[in-house]
Amino acid sequence: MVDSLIQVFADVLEIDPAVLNDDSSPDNVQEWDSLSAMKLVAAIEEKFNVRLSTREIMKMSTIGRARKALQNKNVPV
Amino acid sequence: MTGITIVILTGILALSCAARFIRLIILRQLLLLSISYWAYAHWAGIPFLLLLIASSLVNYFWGSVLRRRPTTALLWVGIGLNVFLLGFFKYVPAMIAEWPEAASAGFLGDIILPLGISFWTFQGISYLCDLYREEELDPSLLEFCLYMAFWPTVASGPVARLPKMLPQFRQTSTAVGDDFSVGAVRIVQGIFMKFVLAHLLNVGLSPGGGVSAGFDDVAPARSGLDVWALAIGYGFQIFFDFAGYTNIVVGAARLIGIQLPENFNRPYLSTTPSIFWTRWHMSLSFWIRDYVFMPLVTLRRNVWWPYAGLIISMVIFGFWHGAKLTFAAWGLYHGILLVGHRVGQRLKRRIPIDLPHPLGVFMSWAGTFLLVSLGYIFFRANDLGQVSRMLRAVISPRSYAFTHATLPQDYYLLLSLMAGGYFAYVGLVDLLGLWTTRYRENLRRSEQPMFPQGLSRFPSLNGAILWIDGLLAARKWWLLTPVLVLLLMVTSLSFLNQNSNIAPFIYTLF
Repeated sequence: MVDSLIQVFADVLEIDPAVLNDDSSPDNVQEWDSLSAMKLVAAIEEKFNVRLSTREIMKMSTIGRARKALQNKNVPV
Repeated sequence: MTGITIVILTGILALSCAARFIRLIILRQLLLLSISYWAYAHWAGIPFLLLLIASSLVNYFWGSVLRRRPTTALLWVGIGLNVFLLGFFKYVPAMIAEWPEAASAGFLGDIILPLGISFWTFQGISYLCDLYREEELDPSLLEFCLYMAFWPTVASGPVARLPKMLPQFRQTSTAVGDDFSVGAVRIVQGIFMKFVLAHLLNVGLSPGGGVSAGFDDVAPARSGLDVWALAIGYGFQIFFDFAGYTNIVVGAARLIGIQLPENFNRPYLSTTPSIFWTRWHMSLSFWIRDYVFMPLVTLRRNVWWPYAGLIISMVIFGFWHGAKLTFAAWGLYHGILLVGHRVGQRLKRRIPIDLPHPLGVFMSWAGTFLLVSLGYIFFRANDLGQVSRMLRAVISPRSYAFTHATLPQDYYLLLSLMAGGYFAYVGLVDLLGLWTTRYRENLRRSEQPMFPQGLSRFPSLNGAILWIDGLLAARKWWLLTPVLVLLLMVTSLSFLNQNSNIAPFIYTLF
C-alpha cells in the first residue's frame, strides 16, 4: 500500500508511485522540476492541512526530507 | 594564453595529482589549498587573493553563527554581505561607465573585477543557505577555504556545492586508472573544443569571416539569413568555448581525484526551453533554481506567482553575466520562453493535437533550437540598438533574399561544417553506443571472449571495433599519454609563435 506522501508526489508529478522513495529528488526524478515543486507544496499543504514556511520548503530537497518536515509539524506520515 | 602559462598550468596540475597520493588528509588539503592560493595570486594578484581569503573567512564565521541560530534575518545578512561584495566590484564600475557625469566618482570607475568573484561568492551564498536548511555540514576552516579557492573552479566554475565536495576533500578516490583515463580524455576533448572549434568560429576561415566580425564590424545592415547565421554561430561558439573549458577543468579535477558537477548535457538536443535549462550551464542554472527561484516562489501561493518567479529569476540570471541591459533582456527573453512553454503545455492538455511522434519531437526540437539561438542576439549584441536592428531583419520577409546576405560565404561554410559536424558526431556516438551494447549482449549470450581471435563467428571489423571499445573502457592510466603529447605540441607552438593570442575563456569575462 503506497503511503500518502508518496501518493501526493505521484499524483502531482503524474508518475507511478512505485518509482518513488524517500531518496527521490529533482536530481533523479525528471518530472520534479521547479514549477512542479510549487504544485507539490500546494498539494502537500492541502492534503495534510499544514502551512509550510519558506525554510521548511527549502529543506524539502528529497521526499525523505519532506516527510521529516511534516513529522516535525506532528503530521503522521 | 602563452607557452609559459601552459607550462605553469601543467606544473600546478602535476603537483595537484601528486597530492592525491598523500595519505595524511590534512596535509593533502593543505597542499591543494597552497597550490590554489598560489595559482590565484599568480593569475589575479595578491590584493584579490586577500579578498578571496577575507570572503572565505567571513562566510565561514557567519556560517558558524547561522549553524547555531538558523534564522532568516541572519541568513539575509550573510547573503547581503556576499551580494554587496559582488555588486561593488561587478556592477558599480559598469553603472559609473553608463553615466559620464559620474567621472567625479574617482576610483569607483577604476575598479577591476576580481577573477572568479561571480562564482566564489555564489559558492559562499550556497554554503550559508545550506546551513539555513540544516544540511549536515561541518567543514574545517581549511576545507572551507579549499572549497572557495579550489583552483580548477575558482576562475569560472562549475559552481560546486559543499555537500558534494566535502566528502571528496576528506577521502580521495582510489580509482586512479579510471580517474586518469577519464580525466585525460576530457582534457583532450576540452582543448579541441575550446582552442580549435570555438576559436575558428570566433575568427573565421578568412579575415572578417567569423562571429566576432559579424557582430562587431560596421557593416551594411545584416540580412535575416545573416542574423540567424550569426545567432546560431555564436551559440556554437559559446558552447564549444564554455563546454570546452568545462571539459578541461572537470578533467583536471578528475586527475586530482575530485569529481566536479557537470555544466553541459547536449543542450542543443533539447526539445523544450525547460529541458534546455536542465542541460545548459547546469551548475549555475540549478543554483538559480535552488537559491533564487524556490525561495522566491514560496512567498506567495497565487497560481500566477511561479510564472512571475521564473521571469524574475531569469532576469537575475541575465544580470549575473554583467550590468548590461542586453544581458537583462536575454534573461527576460528566456523567462518568457519558459513561461510560454508552461502555458503551452496546459493548453495542449485541453486541446490535444495529434501528430506522429517523430514529427512532434522534430518540431519541438527545431522550435527550441531556433528560439534559443535567437536569444543569443541579446546576449552577444553590443547594445540594444543592435539587438533591435537584428531582430527587425529576422521578422522582415524581404531581408531574406540571398542577394542581401552580407557575411562572407566561407562563414556560412564554416557554420554548416560546425553545426552539421556536431550533430553528426553526437548521432555517431549514440549509434556506436547502441551497437556495442547490442553486440556485447550477443557476445555474452554466445559466451565468446571479447578478443578478435575469439570472434570467429563474427566479421573481423566488428571484432576490431569491439576491441578498441574494450580498450577505451578499460580505463588505463596511460591514456594520459595523448594529453601530454598534445600539451607538448601546443606549448612548443606557443613558444615558437610568441604572437599567438588564444582568446580567453568567454566566461572569465563574467
